[in-house]
Amino acid sequence: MRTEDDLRAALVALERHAPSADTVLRAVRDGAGQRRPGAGRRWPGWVRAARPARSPRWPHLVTGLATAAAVAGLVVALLAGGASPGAGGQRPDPAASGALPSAASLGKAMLTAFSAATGDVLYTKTTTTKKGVAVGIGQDWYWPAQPVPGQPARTREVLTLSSSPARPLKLTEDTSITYTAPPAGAEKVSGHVTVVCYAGTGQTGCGYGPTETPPGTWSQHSGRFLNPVSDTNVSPSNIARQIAKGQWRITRRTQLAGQPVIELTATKTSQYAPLPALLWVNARTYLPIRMTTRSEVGQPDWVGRSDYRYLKPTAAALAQLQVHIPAGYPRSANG
Amino acid sequence: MTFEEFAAARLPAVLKFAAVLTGDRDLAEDVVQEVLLRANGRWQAIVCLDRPEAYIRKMIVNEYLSWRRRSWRLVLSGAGTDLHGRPAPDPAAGFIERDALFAELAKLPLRQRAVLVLRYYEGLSDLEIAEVLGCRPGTVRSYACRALAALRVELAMPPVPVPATIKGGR
Repeated sequence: MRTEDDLRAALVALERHAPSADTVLRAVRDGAGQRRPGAGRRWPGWVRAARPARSPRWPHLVTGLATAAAVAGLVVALLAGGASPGAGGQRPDPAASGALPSAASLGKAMLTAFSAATGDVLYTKTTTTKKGVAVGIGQDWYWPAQPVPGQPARTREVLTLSSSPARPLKLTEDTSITYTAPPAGAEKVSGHVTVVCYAGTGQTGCGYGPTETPPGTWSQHSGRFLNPVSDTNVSPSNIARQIAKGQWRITRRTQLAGQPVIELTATKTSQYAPLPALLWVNARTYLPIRMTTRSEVGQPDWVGRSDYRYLKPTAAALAQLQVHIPAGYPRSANG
Repeated sequence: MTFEEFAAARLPAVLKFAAVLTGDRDLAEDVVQEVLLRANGRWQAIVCLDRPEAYIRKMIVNEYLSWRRRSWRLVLSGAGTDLHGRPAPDPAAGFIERDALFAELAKLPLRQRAVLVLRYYEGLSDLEIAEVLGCRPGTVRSYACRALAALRVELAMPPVPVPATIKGGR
């Protein structure tokens, strides 16, 4: 049973949803009739409708798109993250200090947090370094962050790579996929793929699945492609379950990027090897903020780090899902 | 006190109240904006009342209860991370519990939710709540009782029996 104090505390917590006084006053000053009720809704209807009741899913990162072949050999599964905008409050945050949660409850809290952010745009930035020098950056946008089967979804990945640490990073490939979310666990999706393959990066071509796009061109394809958010890879729900199973050990509370976090270390029973693999979870929102891992055996110098953010689906955030076709780039004869 | 002076001094608190009442930032903004547009037009009358802010809050409650555009209901989640509640033994478990409470609050009928907000957030008596809602104190207790039962909230003390003479019904 809950107590009346629990209820009071919950209601006080809702104060954080207070809108900006300046915004309201400005609208009032602008006069009656300038803004009708409901005009300020920020999310398209189907997004709002889809926000509750999602099965959490966490897109895997470097292997998220077939273009990851361009960074083959790195094979660094990196996750990272940040809190949803607006997370946190003005008051002292009990979640930022005190006892560490149990693994089981942390896993459940993460699943709850993922469900709450399901309609957001998930942005990940994965940086791979060799001996401390960045050799690859993958930026991914997923919207909705966790689509339900049958829902329209979009992803985009921009790869910036260098062929060796001695060479500068170059914009290499820009790929977007528009598809209908398949049933859970499906390996393929039906949709459209747009690929821009940048010239001057030393690569011989770009592609997603069976598509092939020569450097200096772009292409568009329709058909069935690899599921960009396959559940078989690292996903939020998988991570949460791994935590609950003890594959991650909760080590401490600390601060990361100005936020209180819970730090976890992968145990020997985890799928991450070689160790160490570290994960930081926001202690207020229970969303992951960052993960760092080592590459597979044989590449001891490779380190991957991913930062992870959930963005409200504003026009600016959704614009990031669009592939930019450089002026003068012809469409490839292949697609 | 001019409308601008009132807004400068009290609007943040009023907006917090609206946010707690509605549980939705956009809806709170819409409701308060509508109310202030009306209040601004007849501020001279409102400012002469004993408690102008209380009147504004009453307008907000009524606007919220009459809101007809709530074709969707945002189930708040993950918002309770800065609570001043009792320290939970396991903070992650507390997060889950708060999240569930937010979701259940969002499912309450509007008047039941309003009663809880006025009683537990605003600290009003049932008599005062009845005044705001334009109903009898007994009706307020009835709403509160149902809402608390739905949320599985245990009362610290048994409710004071309402004399039959003022007991109201729905």
